[in-house]
Amino acid sequence: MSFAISLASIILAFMISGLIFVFSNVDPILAYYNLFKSFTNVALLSEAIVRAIPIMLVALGLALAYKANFISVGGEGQIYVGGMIITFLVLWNTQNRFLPDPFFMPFAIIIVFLSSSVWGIIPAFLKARFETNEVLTTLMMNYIAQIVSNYLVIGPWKDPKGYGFPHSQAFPEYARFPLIPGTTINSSIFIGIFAAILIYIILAKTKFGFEVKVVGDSYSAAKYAGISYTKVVCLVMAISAGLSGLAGMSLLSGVIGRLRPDFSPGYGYTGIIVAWLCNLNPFVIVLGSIFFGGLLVGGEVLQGSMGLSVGITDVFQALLLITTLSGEFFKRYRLVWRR
Amino acid sequence: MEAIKVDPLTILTTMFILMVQEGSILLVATLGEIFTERSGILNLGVEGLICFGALSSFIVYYLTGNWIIATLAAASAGLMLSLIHAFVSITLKANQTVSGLAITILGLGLSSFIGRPIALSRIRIDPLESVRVPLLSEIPVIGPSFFNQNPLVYFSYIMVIVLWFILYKTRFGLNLRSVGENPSMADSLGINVFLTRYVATSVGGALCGISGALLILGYYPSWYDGITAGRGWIAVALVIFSSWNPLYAFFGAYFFGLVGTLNATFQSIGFRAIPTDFFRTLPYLLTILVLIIFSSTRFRRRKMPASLGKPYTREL
Amino acid sequence: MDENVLEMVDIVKVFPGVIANDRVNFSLKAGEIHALLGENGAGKTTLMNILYGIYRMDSGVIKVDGRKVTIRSPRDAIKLGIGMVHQNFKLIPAHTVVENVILGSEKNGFILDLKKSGEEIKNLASSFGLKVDPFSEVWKLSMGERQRVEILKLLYKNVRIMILDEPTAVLTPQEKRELFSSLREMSSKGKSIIFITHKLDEVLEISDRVTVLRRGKNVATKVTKETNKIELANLMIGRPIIFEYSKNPQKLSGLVLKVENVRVLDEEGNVRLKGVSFSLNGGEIVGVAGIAGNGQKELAEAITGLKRVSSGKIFVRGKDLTNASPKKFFDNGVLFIPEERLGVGTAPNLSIAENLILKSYDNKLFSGPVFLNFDAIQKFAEKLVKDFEILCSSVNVPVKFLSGGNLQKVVLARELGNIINNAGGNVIVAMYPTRGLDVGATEYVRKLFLKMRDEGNAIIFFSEDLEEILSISDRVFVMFDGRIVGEIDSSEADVEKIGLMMAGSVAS
Repeated sequence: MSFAISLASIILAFMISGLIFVFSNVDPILAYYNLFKSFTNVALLSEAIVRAIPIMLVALGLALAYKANFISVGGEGQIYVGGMIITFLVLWNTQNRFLPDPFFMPFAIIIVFLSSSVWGIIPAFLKARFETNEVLTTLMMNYIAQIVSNYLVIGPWKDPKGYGFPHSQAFPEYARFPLIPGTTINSSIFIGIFAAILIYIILAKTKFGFEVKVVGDSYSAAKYAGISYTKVVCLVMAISAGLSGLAGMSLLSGVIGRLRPDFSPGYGYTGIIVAWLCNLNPFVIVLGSIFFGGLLVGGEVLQGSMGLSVGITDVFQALLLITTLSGEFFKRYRLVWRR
Repeated sequence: MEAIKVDPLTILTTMFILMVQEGSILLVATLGEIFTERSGILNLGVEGLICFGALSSFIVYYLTGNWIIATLAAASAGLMLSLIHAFVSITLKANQTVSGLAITILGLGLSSFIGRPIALSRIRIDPLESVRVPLLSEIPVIGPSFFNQNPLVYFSYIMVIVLWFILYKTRFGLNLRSVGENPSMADSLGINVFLTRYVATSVGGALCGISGALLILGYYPSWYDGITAGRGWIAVALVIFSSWNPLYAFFGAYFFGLVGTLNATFQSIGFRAIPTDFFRTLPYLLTILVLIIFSSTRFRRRKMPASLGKPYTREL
Repeated sequence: MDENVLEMVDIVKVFPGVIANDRVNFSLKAGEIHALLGENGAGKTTLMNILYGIYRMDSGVIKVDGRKVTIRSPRDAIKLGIGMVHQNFKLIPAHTVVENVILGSEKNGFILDLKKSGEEIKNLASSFGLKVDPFSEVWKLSMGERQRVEILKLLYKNVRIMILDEPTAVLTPQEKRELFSSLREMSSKGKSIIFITHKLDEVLEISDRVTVLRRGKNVATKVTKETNKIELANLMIGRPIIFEYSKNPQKLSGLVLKVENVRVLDEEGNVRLKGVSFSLNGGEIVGVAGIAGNGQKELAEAITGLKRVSSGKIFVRGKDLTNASPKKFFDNGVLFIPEERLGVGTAPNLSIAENLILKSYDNKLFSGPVFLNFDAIQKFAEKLVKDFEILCSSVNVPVKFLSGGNLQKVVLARELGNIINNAGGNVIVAMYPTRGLDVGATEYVRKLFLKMRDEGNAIIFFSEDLEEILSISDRVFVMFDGRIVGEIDSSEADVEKIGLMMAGSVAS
């Protein structure tokens, strides 16, 4: 029954966006075919997985935060923070050569994770200490991170040999994630899969995961059980932001190869939707990310072949979230009725 | 660029003109969100509503050349999207935070999708002409900034008073505020909680749409993705800053409007000691600061509508 | 004055498992102040909630002015001229007095003239001797003033039958005098007043007649002038049948909890606990009697670390734990069974097993440095479920699906079943531990407490059930108005005297 409701929600989302296609004078069947083309074609599927990696990292982190009932929407900003940190490390290492090449990436992964964690702890601490609304603080921090990142790439970090183009110098080979042979997928996907396993283990197996669940379920019960709210949300956000930071690194070191302005096309926001739609389940999130990665590729196909804006993928995502959210009502209703 | 010697009064006047333009956009959206939140509904879709309203006004203004019809189009666009939020959060009692986020993504996505041909064609429209208010516009600094603006800016002033009057001086306003404080008590006194919340959410949504019209018709006579630049979110924070009172929203919005103009102002006088991008982060930094100050005081707990964000289920 | 404005005949109201009103009869005359006397749980508030349209009665007849009426909601009641001031005021603190009073009234047009309404309310108020500033916001007002606003709301709506539910509970003596004089003023102007209370002095002071309820039945209606305190106390409390538990002779094993002059404030800064001192020894059970809201919750939370004390000291086995964390109290063997089972005592969406280890998940038995030991948790949970007879299909069911009784058993199991240090010397703090349990489970809990006592633990439990307190306690405390007003050895306890103390009439 619950499955039927979920299915109905998805079908409803398809129907509504189908109507939007019809109103825009687009053949909805053709549009949907293009939107889901990734799943019919190996080359496009590989592209979908490339896009899935940052989405997956963000969504996994958010799932942990949402389990603690901390509604972070800060993934996008944390992506930019991660991007800035890895670029800084690359630029610094180019000048000083402080690390032998093979050691650079492991070191960078750790540093990017930790620096982004610090960024993520800020809103968690503010909420624990001052009860500030975390949706607003994390959002504001997204704008700040993006502005600073864009400033750096247009200003001090601009490639002097870049003919005035606003980007940093290209990352050297040792600062790139190697590609999986025969595909366009870079090896940061293993970080994503590792993160999924890690989040699963944290939530299902560890004492900390237990504390997260208690805090997320009832603030009063956590207090009664002697669990520190501040400790739990700060740690949760450290991990969440750390993973989103790695998403930024994965984009630069894995795909783009240098820092560019506005380098994330909203993966931080897609991650929110994926986390909710996948019911905060880490393994479902991995699959959901690939689905949404495919949707993003499909959106580009649509834009290329039919001249439609990639915005349609956002519309579809939002509709899916709304219909799923509405479906919750009917699931809940049935539960009450059955009791 | 060489530093140019400019008359300080001229700088101040320019600053104030920009402040009023920017501030009015924030003001109308903040007023809308105040109206919605007063009934107990948290609508985090403001950013999406503004954006969709902006696009609608752009298209209609381009087609008709009539700013009133364009503004009405923007209002109905905001109203339409906010009705989705109302249905999901009032009737289906869903998580209002998630629903609001979905509305934002939906509004931004729809605008980007529909607006793409316009963005590509780089069409521009003529901004609304300013209307000078006799006498008042003669006052130095205040006159040219507050009283020589387009009609929608005057609309924002009027709305401050109108909303304040409705909330505090009418029976409907009293009912609306009571629903936001204690819906079950209001219900027991025969007030229709659901209808009141629907009205508050749609009026709020319409105002957010008008805020988008103000953005386009008064300020940015062109269209591109991301044109709203987080103004919706700042408006949500401004609601807390103004402690849910339309009159305080006036000051909050213009204060943030002023901060938003610092970038342009310092550029225009050739001040380059601090990167201008620093000023661009200021509204966001300031928003966080405001949240810290106004969330931590006991003050907020008294002013925040007591049932904000909580779905109401009728017992029995 | 002999006209009955209201008659309630053979009112029956059944809640699952309890008959709250068992063919209750009640009548009210015009201009009369009629006290409704009874202990907590006697059915007074239920009866009045039926009259005010909040509950539906299962059978019975309500007549207003001799005509049979159906009251489905508070709106219906108000239309009939019946209004109620609840114990927890139904006011909007953010609104002004005028706004609260005129809310829902049809008297005003679309545009409100608050000034005019304010004047009207001021006149109305002064004609009954109710002092209140109509333009002040309610959160700024004292409890007494808020009560006046509640009364004004009813007067503004032309209510002529006014129900006041324990109106003096929140008042200072000064405010109480003012309230009583206003009530007399109202009755002299023809308003009828139903005054719900459990305080004998107030009945004698203010009422014309008194109806006494005991365990859902009305035991008597008396003309106040013709009765006295002793008679009313006997009617109210009755003679409880005391179950005899075979208590082993007491073996005291030394001081485990010492509380010295503890004071606790609520969020608004009011003193809720006004200097409480006592000691508990291992091997004894102390039952705390008292009407709810006299500081019991604050006391329980203070001695378990959940509430900060503003002054005073708390020692557990000689160790100063004043204002230590709840965790610290638990680790030192202070176990707490809270009043709210769902949301505080348990996390609703977590499973039974998870809730059973809520406080001990980081104990070596259940986890290593990082990971939880699920085998151990599962076994532990299954054992507790069996020991405590918790009915469930599996220990992995979320606790929100459990019945109240089973939920309480989960809490009890966690707190009492977790006693890892079986040497005794723990402190068990329990709030209403048998509320909602069936007879068998109640028996089980009481026997468990006795067993814990014999093993050398100290038990302090709060209960509304005097029977329960007298049957298992070694000592009885009586709480009233934030203080322990009486301390009695249960072997020489006098029910009448305890009743009077609970009602604030006698200090020991």
